[in-house]
Amino acid sequence: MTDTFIQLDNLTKTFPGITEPAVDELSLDVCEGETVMLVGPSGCGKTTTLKMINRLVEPTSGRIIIGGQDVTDANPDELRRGIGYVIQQGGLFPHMRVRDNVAAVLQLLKWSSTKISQRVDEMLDLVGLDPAVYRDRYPKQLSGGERQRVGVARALAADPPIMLLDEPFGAVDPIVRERLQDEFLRLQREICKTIVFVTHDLTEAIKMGDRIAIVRDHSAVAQFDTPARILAKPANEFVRDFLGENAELRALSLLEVTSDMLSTLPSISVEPGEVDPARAQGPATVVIQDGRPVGWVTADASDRTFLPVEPLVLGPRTHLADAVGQMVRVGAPAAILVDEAGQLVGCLEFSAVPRAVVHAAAGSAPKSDRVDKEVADADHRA
Amino acid sequence: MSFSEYLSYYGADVVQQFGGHLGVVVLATLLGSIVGISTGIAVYRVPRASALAIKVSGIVLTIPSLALYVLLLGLLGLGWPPVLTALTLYSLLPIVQNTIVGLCGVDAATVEAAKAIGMSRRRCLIRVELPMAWPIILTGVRVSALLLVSTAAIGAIVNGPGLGEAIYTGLNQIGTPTALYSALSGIVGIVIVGVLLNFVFIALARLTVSGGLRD
Repeated sequence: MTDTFIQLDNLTKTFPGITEPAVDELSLDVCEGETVMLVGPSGCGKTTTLKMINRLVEPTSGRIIIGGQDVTDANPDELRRGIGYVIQQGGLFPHMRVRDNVAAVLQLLKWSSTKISQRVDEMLDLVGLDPAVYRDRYPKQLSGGERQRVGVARALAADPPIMLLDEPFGAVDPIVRERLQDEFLRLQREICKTIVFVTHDLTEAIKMGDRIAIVRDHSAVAQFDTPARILAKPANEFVRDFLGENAELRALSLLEVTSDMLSTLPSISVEPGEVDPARAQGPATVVIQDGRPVGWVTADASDRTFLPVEPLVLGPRTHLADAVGQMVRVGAPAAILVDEAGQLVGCLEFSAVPRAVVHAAAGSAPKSDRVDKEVADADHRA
Repeated sequence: MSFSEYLSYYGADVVQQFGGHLGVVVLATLLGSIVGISTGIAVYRVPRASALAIKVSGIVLTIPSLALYVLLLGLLGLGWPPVLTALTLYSLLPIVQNTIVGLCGVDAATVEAAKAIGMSRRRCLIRVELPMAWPIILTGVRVSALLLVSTAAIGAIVNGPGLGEAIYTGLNQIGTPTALYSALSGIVGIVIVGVLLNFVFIALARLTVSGGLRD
């Protein structure tokens, strides 16, 4: 899973007539099955870098190694048939129907026509387009989002192990973009491609990437790490500037709440319908009713009040941001976390939040490792 | 003698001239398309070669047709050969120019997408670039064909085929009762050839231009 699959070794590209190289001695390793985001200001050479992987741009010097094989001098047409490529608006052929667009690579690979039409329908289904409705349409009869989906279907049709995406969701409105991003994430969990994804949108990079390479001029990599670690600990001034202010706040929505962050606060059990603030101990007390936490009793000077809480479930989908959200919403100094059964697991105190961010910066496991761990745990349980 | 009487006497000749006119125009347009589109494909990637090709075919078009027919008379004799050659040469400019403009106008991102999925340059040209440029190329062919319909009439001076002969006969017999009818049959015939070709091109565009490119 974590084997290097695409290795860019000292890639340099100098365009004729321009003295400054567009990409200068770039080295980057992409592991199998991971999504690496290339993000940076426009004109920084990230698209050129992407195009060197499928040799739409021939490198001036350096090597490209894919799956252990040096492809720097391989036949580019054959190389490209094994690499999916998606660009803004899908790059569809306007004179071909959707089915012919999706089939384009399959025809190059000389599939039989019955196999092709089966595969086309399968691909349209995969990207959420009803084949019966969309098969015979022309690109101009599609919305921006639909075009983008067809572009993804075409890129995936021949089941290439690698996908290159160049600002694929750049030309659609924010709502559609978000939906396409979510769908792509779901799709990627199914298909597990090795993906290099170019964007100028930091939010997209954080959302989509297992790792992010922040690129500055001439494709110099300013930082290459997991989104959480980049946000929590920018490596240098350039990254800090690029992330903008309050980057740490973005980190909160990436870092999971884990059991080691939790602490135990005093709690009281009450009968249904009866809350007695007088029994509270200390500044904040968890109120438990029928074995389930239902809220807080807080002590503010002499005034004691009951604050009802909708507890969070401890798990991979609960992030620090959710916990902070709960604290702010309720007005309590900590968040209440429960297990799947609704039993109290512990409380996340506000002071634990910055500690968790600092801890993540010091070195939390990258996302892909985490997946491994989950798989290993599952195996273990089985 | 009325026009209908004239036609009953000379109708067979007019029909034959009509056939010859249509034939020489269609044939010259076909030859011009083969030469012109091939030239356009050969040069469109190189701006200087494109400019040269357009300039040369433009110069050809500026030679007065009368002069060109007489010039070719010495080389190719009388009848079909000089007329067909001259018309083919005249057809080149719109076809070469529109082929170049059409191919250069194909969206670069689409061509790159074709390359990126592993199409060879040749396949990309045949499957992507030419079909996308086709509406513009076809317009060039149509302009050429309609241009040739009128130019072909002058071919009669080198004894070429077509309705020009009827017009010349009329001119030479001015004052005789049939002069006007002769010229009229030539002119009306030429107009019909033009209208007919126009319909053919509309049908051709319907059949050959992808629905994805039509408005």
